[in-house]
Amino acid sequence: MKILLVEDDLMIAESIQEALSEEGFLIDRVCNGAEADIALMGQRYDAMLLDLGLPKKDGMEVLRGLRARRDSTPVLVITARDTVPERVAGLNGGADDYLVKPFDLYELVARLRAVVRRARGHLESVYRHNDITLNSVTREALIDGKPVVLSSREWAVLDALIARPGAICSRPQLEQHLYGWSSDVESNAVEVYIHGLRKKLGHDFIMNVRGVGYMVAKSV
Amino acid sequence: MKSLRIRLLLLLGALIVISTIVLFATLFRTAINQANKLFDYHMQQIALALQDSNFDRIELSAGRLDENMAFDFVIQIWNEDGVQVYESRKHRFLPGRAAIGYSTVNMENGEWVVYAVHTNNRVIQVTQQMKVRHDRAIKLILYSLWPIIPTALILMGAIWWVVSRAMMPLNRISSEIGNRNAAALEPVSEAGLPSEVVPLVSELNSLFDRLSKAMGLQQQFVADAAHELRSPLTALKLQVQTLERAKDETARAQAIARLVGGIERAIRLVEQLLALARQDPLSRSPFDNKPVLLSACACDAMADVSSLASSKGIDLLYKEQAQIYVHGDPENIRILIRNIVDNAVRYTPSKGIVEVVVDKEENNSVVIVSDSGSGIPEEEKARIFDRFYRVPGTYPMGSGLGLPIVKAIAEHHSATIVLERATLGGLAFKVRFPSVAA
Repeated sequence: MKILLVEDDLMIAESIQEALSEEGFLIDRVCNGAEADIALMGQRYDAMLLDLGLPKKDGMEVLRGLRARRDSTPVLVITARDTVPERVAGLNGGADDYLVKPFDLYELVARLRAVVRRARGHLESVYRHNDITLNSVTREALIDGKPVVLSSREWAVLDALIARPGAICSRPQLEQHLYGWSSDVESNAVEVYIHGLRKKLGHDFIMNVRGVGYMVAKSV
Repeated sequence: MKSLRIRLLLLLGALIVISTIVLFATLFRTAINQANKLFDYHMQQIALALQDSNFDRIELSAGRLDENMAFDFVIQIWNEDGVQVYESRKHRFLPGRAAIGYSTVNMENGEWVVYAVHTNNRVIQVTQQMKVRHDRAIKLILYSLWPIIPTALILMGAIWWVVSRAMMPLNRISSEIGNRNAAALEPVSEAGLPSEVVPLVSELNSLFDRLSKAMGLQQQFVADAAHELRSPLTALKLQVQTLERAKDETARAQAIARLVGGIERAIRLVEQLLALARQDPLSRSPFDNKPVLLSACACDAMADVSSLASSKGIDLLYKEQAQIYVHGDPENIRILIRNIVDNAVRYTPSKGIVEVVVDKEENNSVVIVSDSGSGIPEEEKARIFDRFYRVPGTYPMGSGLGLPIVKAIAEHHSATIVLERATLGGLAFKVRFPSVAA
């Protein structure tokens, strides 16, 4: 999953980025509201972690702008503003969840996943198709009950596909899920990982729509 | 005597008693004189009434008169030959023929008042015992004057009541203030107060207002401080949880290093908060006011910042142009210089220079901290003294309180702050202390 982290406190941002990366998230990080706007307009994120007290542009303004653009990116607000009126304002302003500092790392991860799950309309985090079971939270892949090991890059591509089963993901979209700003994109990386996934999960599992992209069937 | 009311009552009461006594005494004297004149007049009239009478008897017949109708006067009549022809009553001691007109005669049984008139070849003498006259006079006076006493008492009662009523607004205020708790600083109502007390209450209300504003600032500070502590604490919590999840030695080492950095930051913030709180006028910390050697403070301050400077490869230079003393609190002046130098080091890029100069400018002592950084844009110059304001994106992170503390300490010492462009290229932060006789 690709997450935009908007947080001006460097120590907090560092810790969150590291922990979420370990959990399999891909993090783009900005430290003020203006840069957040630019990032949001540049690509689609699976979710945004938004601090409110930001330099250059306040987090609430970023949120308002996002929703005014009819952008439904899930937003989890993380902030020190803890009074009830502020929480209500945040949620009413378009946030999908509101977490007050100081918060627990595990709770942050769980809420983030919940917000993404809700946005995707999934009942649970487990994807099933024929004899394939995929759990993107636990990073467990089972074929016929037997575990299969996938690399984190493979998981990144797979997660993008099973996020919207039945919908086509283009190559650029899949690339965005593989790379943050700081990495160089290898030109045929997506094909390589798709090839690897087909080898491990079955050739028919991932369907290729020529010229458009890839997709997986709906979960059963 | 502390009580205004009792003092008033005693004074007024004493005045009333004294006036009553003086009034009584004066009236008494006048009444006695008038009574005497009246009795004298009576005696004359009796004597004149008898001038045409012929007396068959030589003395008043006893038993004829009613018991209650006592005849106090003694009437004696002598004929032209000096023979007593009438005596109204026999007395053991009786004045003999006295001079014509009014006189007093002292007999063994007391004083007698005598009036004698010579008429129709006779001398008619009317005599009265002074004691009798005196008793009559006293009775007359007392009957006339006794209302003064109850009047005086009623007057005193009335004064008591009036004074109490007048004191009521003061009682109201004192009980209203006495019933308040520590936080109630609303103004006291001035309604119905005598104009003499209004200035007092008005100043009291003004004091309440100042206190309430100061308390408001303090509460705001506490709220701001609590808010500001959240981010460092969040960072700590996340850093500990990251440490818990560390899978190998390198990850653990890195997580611990980060955690230590987070703790340092939290400690620094708390220290700065305490330093700022101590500058608050309500904080009651005692400030020294003695001669302070600026160079000593500058060197101490620079020592505090040296490790930060060396970690960034920044040259920390010191130049002392004069041996200068200023008046103030040495600890606070050290903090002032340290915060300015710390700020300079923080916002100057690596391998830069920060220079501290202690000098004399005209009659004032100055400390100038210059850096080779990028200076401060004009519009930011006012904001940097706001609490918790930080230039975003710098690492390691400041508390946002360094310069507000500098400003507070400078104000305490009546020093001025000037921000200029430094020859080194960045900011020259100048603190000018008031001139002091060395």
